[in-house]
Amino acid sequence: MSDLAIRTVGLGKKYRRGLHVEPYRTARDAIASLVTTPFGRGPRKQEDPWFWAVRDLTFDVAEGTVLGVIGPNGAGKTTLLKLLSRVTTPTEGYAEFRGRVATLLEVGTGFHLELTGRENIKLNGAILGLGRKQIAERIDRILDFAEVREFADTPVKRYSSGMFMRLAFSVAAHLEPDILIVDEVLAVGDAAFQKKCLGRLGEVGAEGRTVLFVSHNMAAVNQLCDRALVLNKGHIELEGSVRDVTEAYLTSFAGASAEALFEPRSDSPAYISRLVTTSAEGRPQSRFTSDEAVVLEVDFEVVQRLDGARVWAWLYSADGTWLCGATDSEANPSAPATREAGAYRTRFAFPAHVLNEGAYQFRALISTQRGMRNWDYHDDRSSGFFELEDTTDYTSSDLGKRRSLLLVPMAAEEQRIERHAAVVG
Amino acid sequence: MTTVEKPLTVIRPQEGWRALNLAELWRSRELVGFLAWRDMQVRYRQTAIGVVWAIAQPFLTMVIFSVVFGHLAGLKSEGLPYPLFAFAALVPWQFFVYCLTQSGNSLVANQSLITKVYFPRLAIPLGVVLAGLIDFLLASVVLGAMMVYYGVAPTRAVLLLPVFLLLGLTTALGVGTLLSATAVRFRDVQYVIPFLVQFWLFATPIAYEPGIFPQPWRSILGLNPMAGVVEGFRWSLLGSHTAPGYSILLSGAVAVCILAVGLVVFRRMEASFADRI
Repeated sequence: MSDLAIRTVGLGKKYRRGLHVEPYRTARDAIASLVTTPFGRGPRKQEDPWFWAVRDLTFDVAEGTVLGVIGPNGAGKTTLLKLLSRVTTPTEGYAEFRGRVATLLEVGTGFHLELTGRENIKLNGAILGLGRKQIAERIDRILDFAEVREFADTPVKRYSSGMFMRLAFSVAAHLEPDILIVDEVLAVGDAAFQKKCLGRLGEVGAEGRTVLFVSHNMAAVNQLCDRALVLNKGHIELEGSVRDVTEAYLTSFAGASAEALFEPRSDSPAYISRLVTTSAEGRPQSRFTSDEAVVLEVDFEVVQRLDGARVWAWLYSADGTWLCGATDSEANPSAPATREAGAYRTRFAFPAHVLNEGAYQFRALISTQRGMRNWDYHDDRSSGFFELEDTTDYTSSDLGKRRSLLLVPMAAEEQRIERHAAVVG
Repeated sequence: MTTVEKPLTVIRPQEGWRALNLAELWRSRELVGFLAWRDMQVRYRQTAIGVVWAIAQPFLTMVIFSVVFGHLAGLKSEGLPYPLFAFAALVPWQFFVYCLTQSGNSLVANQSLITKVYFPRLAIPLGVVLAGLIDFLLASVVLGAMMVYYGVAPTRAVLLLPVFLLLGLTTALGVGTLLSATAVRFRDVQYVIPFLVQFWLFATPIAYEPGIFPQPWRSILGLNPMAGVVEGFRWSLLGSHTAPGYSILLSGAVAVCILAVGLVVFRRMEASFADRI
């Protein structure tokens, strides 16, 4: 199987919940937790502290393939890259790859602010696996690509953030490994440089190198990759040619019906029984136009009298970006502080003319007053999805259909003014 | 097909004890050099006297020791001029302290590297030791100048000096790997290090001559490898009376043990550095 660059079999990684949140683990923390939960039985203890960030990942990547990895936030994309780049070790499973691997989980890893651009290129190159000779050969190309040649001997702490990012990306883009693993690095720099980066990555792919490219940017994935893989909740959900996968990924949201019903829960004092997206008039629907408000109805059951419970609605874009959110008490000051047992309905309305077209998801939650403890939460693929279509008539507009995330109109006014005095010096 | 030449890398779960991967460490020797170079570059940026600090630190300590212990307290110095007596010990001692304090914190300080890039993690404490060695060489030049000034010529025993340096290196790397790996889990280490350094300073015959201890304490002092290093430096360079005897073997054995424990702990914890740091 010499034409495979990467092969994984049942790769999985288990993390302990909480460890990421506590940045330090000290003896004092141990004592502090003893004081707050003297018998070691905090409410959180009921949950299994271990969770699988990714599991059962089995896939092959042929040599020369540019594979895009897509998925919502928290799907395990970064964990997968960390495993393949050997930053962390798997809990189970097996993977092998042929050739030298370079990873780019972050631009500017190991950059030191006190060092000059040239010095940082040397250091960063060495960290990413280049030898002294290889660095010397490439240093001019790297400086030129980053457009920072005149600042080569200036400490990078004096660089603008754009210059810094450009330099950092250029080092990585000139590594020329057999396998390149890239995570979200295109979110750097100005649009022109992003285009240049995409071009450079495309070249890397064309040179027959294998590239693993993680991105939220569906357009970039479509443009660069041959194949794509969708991760969701740590599992591979879809895999195939990039066109098939991105299409299936986007339409998987559209298939969802407006209404989702949930089983009663006996383990919680309150639970969500129904989520439905409706028009302003209350008609259930999952397709909206940009001039309509989108209403989320959260029906919930209070099993026993509850003080200070909160209902939350969060809005996400299809790629998992958190857009906005509200609690019932914020949005509705007359929301009751105490609820007797019974059935309730909260309606959250998202205004028209704000979001551009695309697929979106509402996620709903019932929690205690400050969200210290969740009673019920729904973020799965089967609920809260809706599609928005921009039906604005752009025939008389200069720009045509917007490609921005938001459609919110801006005000503009114009007047005649005096000429500015010429700037001297 | 060129594919045949490409190295195959296998990833599988890693639990428990692992052997030292010397081949991989050797391949990343340039990285060790670069990390040491970075430390050197960064340390004295925006300082007025720059690299002179590498010399000034042991030199000023020597001046203080000479005034307090040599002059005021009148401690004996094996018939040598007290400043020279103290400085010959302070040069390897400062190297050791540098390694101890810097490598103890080195993994935590390089957190962003560890969580983002793979490389043999041992390169980090090794880079620290290498940077310390460069400071050590600079300070050695001053030591040589002082020997000329006081008219003290080394004896033939100077040929054994590399042995004592190696002993110091072994101890420094051992303690460094142990502390740096432990600090990943327990940040308490950073508070322990200053006390450790202070305690170790008093347990090492730097300000005083080892002869002030009666037997059997004199032999027990040999358990401290740095005592062996300091005595060895004075003996081989300055020709002090007390030639290191069996105690140097004891020091050597202890140093090797410390390094072995340090490396084993480091390797054992290495796989989880990125997750736990």
